[in-house]
Amino acid sequence: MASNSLTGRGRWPQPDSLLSGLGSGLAGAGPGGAATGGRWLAMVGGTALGVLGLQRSGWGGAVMALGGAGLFAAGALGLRPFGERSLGTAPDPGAWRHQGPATRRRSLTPERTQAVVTIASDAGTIFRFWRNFANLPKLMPQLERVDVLSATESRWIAKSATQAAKGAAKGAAGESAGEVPNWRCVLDRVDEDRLLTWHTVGETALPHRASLMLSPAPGDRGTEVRLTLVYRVPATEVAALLGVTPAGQAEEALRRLKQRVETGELSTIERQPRGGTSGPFREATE
Amino acid sequence: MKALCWNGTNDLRVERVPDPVLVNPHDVIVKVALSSVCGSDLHLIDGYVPTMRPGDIIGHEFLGEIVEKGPEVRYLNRGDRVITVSIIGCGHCGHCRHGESSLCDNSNPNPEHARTAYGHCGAGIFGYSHAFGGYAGSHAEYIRVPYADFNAFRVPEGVSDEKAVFVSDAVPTGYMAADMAGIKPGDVVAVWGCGGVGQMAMRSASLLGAERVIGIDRVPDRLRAAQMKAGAETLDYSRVDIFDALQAMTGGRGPDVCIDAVGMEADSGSNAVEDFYDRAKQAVGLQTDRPAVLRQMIESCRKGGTLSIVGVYGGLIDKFPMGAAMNKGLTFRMGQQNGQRYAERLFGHIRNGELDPSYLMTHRLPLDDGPQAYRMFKEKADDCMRVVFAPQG
Repeated sequence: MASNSLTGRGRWPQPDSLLSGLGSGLAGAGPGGAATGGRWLAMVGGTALGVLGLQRSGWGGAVMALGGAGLFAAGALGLRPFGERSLGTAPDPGAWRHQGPATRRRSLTPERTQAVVTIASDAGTIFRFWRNFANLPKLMPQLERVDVLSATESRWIAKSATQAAKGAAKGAAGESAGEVPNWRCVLDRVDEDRLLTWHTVGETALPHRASLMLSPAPGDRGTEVRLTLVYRVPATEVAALLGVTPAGQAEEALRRLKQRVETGELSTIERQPRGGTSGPFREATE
Repeated sequence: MKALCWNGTNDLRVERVPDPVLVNPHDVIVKVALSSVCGSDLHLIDGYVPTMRPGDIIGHEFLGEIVEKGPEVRYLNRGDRVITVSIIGCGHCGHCRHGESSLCDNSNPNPEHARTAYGHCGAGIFGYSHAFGGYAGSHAEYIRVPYADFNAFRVPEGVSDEKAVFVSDAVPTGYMAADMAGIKPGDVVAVWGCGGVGQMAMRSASLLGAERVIGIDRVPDRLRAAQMKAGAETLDYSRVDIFDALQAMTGGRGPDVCIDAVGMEADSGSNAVEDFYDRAKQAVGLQTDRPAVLRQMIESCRKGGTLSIVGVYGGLIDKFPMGAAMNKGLTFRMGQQNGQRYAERLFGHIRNGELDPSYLMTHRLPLDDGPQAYRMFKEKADDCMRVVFAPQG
């Protein structure tokens, strides 16, 4: 079935299959605009050929209909049978960053990521939960623990990327054997129920600063919570060390914060029964 | 325990699986007494809902007895006979607090799929693919129910299992379709689809004050049930032109409210070209859902009328007559059911004798007959409206 071919790995239609095929075909004026002309030609031509084919009888009609359908599909899926240059040849807006000797660090500027969520609770409850940094491993599964050293200082100890990903006790690449990413943080600003900012101090593989900003949502909707993370190393490096990108870290932390505050638990399907153990595991494709 | 598992398109198997356990403090474990098939399961079985994984236990409409409860469950107790709303709410987020629990922010532990496809993620649903959380379903001897105080409802004395089980899904879905349409006295309501949900939508429309209710289907026994049990007039879409018939029945105005109780696997019945077009596009992945019913509703509905959609859609549709919808000033209401909001009210209607959903249960079978039962249900053979499994035998 067609829907299965889109979902073979248990996912919804992904970019470069259904959605972007239709989406970029319809977007027209975007960066892909120049390349969509041929696709429209294929889709319109394919439709015309298909309709003509369907009106005829016999094998000729069937072949025309089939050809039309194929052409339409090619256009819709962005295969561009009339051969424009691929979108991939468009200039890379980030190319200037690559000038000079190739290094692992592709970004010279700090990488900033922000996530936002609305929580059906008062700012005070949310602020108090976060303000106690010892709670943060509940929100950031990549942390082993956070030791609060003083009113403003804390030491954060991460699980290594391999630990975080597989639960193994091995150190991640880039860390010396037996050592896991860790850093010391100091609080900068504590604006009760509104703003909390902190940054790393001293030597660490993951220098960063961060802020949590709370503001009342309109009506009775609760509190809007913004988490900003600014890493001074590229996202790829954060992912290599922590097992999660900064964007993933921020989003997951807020998702868990919302669940903790609103429901007191984290929704899960862990440890639930399932079948399929009697035979070999098969993916959902035909 | 025994469970009915999805193992691929049109591949259901009864398997031995581990018993569920309490995981979170607000969970209960329910020993399933009755678990109904639902038309929306056919979308899973036919392979139209992505994110199913082999081994997933299906089923979402059930009744049973609480046998274990987590330490923070307050209102329910072991031994309680309960139904559970098929769509899971956390009870605390903004949506749950406003009676929109099918939009719950927290109950889907796997929000990425839905976020990617829909922009935002809706609630988790029992046995309804990993896009809806991947929760194990109810076609099993036992099931874990999260946030139990919010999602499970004690069945009142005097309401039989056979009536109560459908308050899990079919009754609130049909009721919500009628409720959100804002039916006013004098309204004519047309309902596409005379399966379990459609039957309940028709009855609910009458309860909410509709003057006339028209049921549309092509299966003779379902049309008969719509007349006899739901008090509707009926139209067989394989025999008449629906637009013409509806205009003739409404003095040329069209129905005030049109309810879609069919969803993504619709066919038009009369227009072979349209059906071929939709099936072909669905087959090659250029649309995921077939919108024949939506097109008919938009065309038939009176100017300024309301379309209420509870049939399930999953992805993208094509040739959607937006011009007609806009220029006729139609209102669209839609959504998965918010049963938590309706359960007590529906038990009230059942106790008063105003609503009896038990006739939906045309077959009661052991779980072992699961694969054959779904085949019968899909083919609508043996006058099958709904098969209900009795996993305890």
